[in-house]
Amino acid sequence: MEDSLGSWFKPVAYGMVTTAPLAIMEQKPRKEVSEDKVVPEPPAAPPPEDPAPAMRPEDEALVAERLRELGYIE
Amino acid sequence: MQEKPNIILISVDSLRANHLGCYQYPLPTSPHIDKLACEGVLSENMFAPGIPTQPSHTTIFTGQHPVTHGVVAHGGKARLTRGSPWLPEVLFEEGYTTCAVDTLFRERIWFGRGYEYILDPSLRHMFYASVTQEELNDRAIQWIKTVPKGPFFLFIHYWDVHYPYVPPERMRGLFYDGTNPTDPDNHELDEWWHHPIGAMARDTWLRTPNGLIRDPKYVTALYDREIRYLDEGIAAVEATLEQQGMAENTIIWLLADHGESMTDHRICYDHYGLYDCTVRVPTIVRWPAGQLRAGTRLAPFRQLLDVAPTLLEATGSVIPEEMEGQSFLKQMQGQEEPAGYDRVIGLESTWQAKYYLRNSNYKFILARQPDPLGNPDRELYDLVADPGEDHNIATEQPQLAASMEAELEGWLADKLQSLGKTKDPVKEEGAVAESIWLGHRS
Repeated sequence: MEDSLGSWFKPVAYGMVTTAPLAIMEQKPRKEVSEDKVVPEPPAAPPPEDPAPAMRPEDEALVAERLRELGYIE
Repeated sequence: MQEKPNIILISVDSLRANHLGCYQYPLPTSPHIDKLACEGVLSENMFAPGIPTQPSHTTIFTGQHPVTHGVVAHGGKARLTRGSPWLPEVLFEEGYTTCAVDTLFRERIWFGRGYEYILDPSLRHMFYASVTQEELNDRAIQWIKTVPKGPFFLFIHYWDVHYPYVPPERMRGLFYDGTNPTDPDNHELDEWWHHPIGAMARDTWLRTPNGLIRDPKYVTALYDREIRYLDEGIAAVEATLEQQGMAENTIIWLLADHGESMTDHRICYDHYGLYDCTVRVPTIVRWPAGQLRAGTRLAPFRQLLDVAPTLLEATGSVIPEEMEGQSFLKQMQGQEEPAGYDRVIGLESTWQAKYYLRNSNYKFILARQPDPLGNPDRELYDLVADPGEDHNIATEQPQLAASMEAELEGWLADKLQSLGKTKDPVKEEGAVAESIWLGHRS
C-alpha cells in the first residue's frame, strides 16, 4: 500500500486515489428489515397521551428569529 | 430510449443512516427507501468530510474537499469562487435540463449555479426548513411531468427530518413506547435548554396542550415519524417516474448532507460533533438501465466528494480535473472490485471548530478552539471495541493519538500547500455560532 499521506494526492496534486485493501470489499445479496415485517400504519385512533406537537405561526416566527440571530439564516 | 440518463439527486437534510431499515434500524421508518436500496446499490460507509448543510452540499456539487473549496462553516464568511467546478453547470453544458427544488440559493448564491429552473415553495414559510415533502413534491412531480424532451437533472432537497420535528398529525402513535412524553419529573433534556437550539425548541415546537415534551424517547420518535413521512414522498417520486415511463433510465441518488445526533455525546437533536451518527451518511443509488448490481452493499470508505464524479461518469461527461472525488460507478456495476479510501479527514466550523481523521479502526478528533461542551481538545476512539464512540482513549493511548494528530496535520499542511493556501480554514472561520451559544449560557 502507498504511504498514507501520499495516497491522498495524484502526482498532479488535484485528486485522490483509492488505496483501501480489497480485503475489505463486501458484496452480498441482502434482505431489508421491512421485507420480513408488516409495516405498521399509524393507529386510527392516536393514543391520548401522544401530544402531537404542532408549529403555530408564532412559533415559526420565533424559530426564524432565533436562527437569524445565530447566522443560520439571513 | 435516450442515451444519457436522467438524474434525480435527493438530499435529505439531517437524515441519520442508522435510522433507516436498510442501515439496520429495527423500527420500520423507511419501507420505500429500503425497497429502493434493494433495487439499487447502498454504500455502507459514505462520509461527509464537512458538516453541516452549506459545507456539505458545497462538497457534493463541487466534488471537492471543504479545505479545497473553502466553505467550512454554515453561515461563515467564505464564499465559493466562481471558478470552482459545479455539477449542475457541467450537466447543463452537456445538454441537460436542470432544476433545483431547493432553498439553499437563498442563503448562498452559488447554490443556484447551473439551474435553468429553481422552484422554492419554502418561500411560503418563515423558516425554510418547515417546508414539507408534499410541498416540494407538488412542484417536483409537476416539473417531471412537463420537463422538455432530453435528459434532465433534478435536485430535490427535503427538510422534513431537520428540526423542528413536526410530523403530520396522522403519524401520531408511531414509534413511541413510553407512557408520558410530558412528565414534569423527567429532566433528561434540561441540559439542552441551555443550548440556543434547545431553548428554541422548548419555547416553540416542544410546547403542546399536554405540557412541555420532556422525554427524549418521544423526540426521537418524532424524528422517526418525519423519516416515515419523508419515505412516503420518496415513494411518490418513484411512482411518478413509473407512470411517465422514465424509471428505467433515471438515476435516483438518495443521500444526506449529514446525520443527526439524538442525544448522543450530549448533543441533542442537532448536527454538530464529528461522531459517526453525524458524519456517516446514507447513500442509495438506483439506475435500472445502468446495470447497477441490485442489492449490493459497498463497504469501502467513500466520501460525498465522490458523488459528482460518479454521476458525471454515468452521463459520459468529462469530469473536471478540479474535482477531487473518485467515481465508483464501475464498482456499483460490478465491473471493478470494491475499493475506497483507507481514511477520511473531515471538519466542522459552525458550533465547534474541529477536524477528524477516521480509519477503519480508530477516530481521532482535534479541536482548534475549546469545545463548549467541555470535551478535551483531543479525542480518540477505538471504533472496533467502542463503535458508539463513548470512551475517549486519547490519554490511555497517547502514542496513537499523537501519531494520528501528526497524520492529520501533515495531510492538512500538504493540502494547503498544494492549493497555494497558507491559512487553516477552520482556524480562520472559528466556530461561527459558538459565541452566541456561550452568550446564551451566561
